[in-house]
Amino acid sequence: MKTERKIILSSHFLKFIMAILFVTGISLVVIYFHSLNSPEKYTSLIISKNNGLIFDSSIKEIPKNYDEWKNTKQLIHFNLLENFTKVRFLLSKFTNVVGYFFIIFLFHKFLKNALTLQFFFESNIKILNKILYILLGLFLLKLLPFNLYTMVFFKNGLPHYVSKSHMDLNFLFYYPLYIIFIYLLKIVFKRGQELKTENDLTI
Amino acid sequence: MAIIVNLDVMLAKRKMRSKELAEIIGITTANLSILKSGKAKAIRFSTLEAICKALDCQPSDILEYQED
Repeated sequence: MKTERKIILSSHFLKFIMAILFVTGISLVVIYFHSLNSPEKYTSLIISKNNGLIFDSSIKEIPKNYDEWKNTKQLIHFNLLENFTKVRFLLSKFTNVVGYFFIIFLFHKFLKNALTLQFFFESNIKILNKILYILLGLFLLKLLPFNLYTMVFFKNGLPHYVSKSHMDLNFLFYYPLYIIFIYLLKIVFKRGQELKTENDLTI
Repeated sequence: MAIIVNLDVMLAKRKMRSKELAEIIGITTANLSILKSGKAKAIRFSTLEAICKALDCQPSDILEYQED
């Protein structure tokens, strides 16, 4: 009974995270299209050193030219980004959010299966396999150079492109760890299923 | 399969029905069917003992080894 309650609680928590991820995904799409129509509302939107999208209330206005930008903190302002960079950045974030959403969704399904307190069956192994493929996909996407930001400044009507990059190599450590962990879990569940079948067929 | 289960033959010899045997030895008819069809991976000594007792036979009367 206690275990069941814990599983139900965890399931609700996962649903909550799924809701947050859903809202985040929608927000990313809204930010892109809304920023095209009303860029003045996104003056405080910057890309942080961790490649995160944050609203910095201390920013009142965007540098108008390269010299002005050079004399400030040299932040990556969302409005200064070239359109292709914007799309690339938001798309990478959106892909991550969708990936995490599906991983959480599959974990939620896994927990639902666990309510019967029977873990070792084909469905759970398939779920772990799917999580493994999503993680592998996200890892491969992270390897692509998405964190190269190109900003456009205008001088005498001519565009002046400035590229800046934030290197974040933490994923090279974490993602393989997650992948190995899920892979090990899959092997354990596969062996568990084999043993269960053997046990079921022992008369 | 190398091990053949001759439970059908013994049941016919003793003129006993599967359901009856299942009730005597205390297993479900589904499990007895698994045993009869040769799908079983293993058999417990306790089950074998109960079958031998119910059918008044030896384990060799029920289980037989045949080379593939």
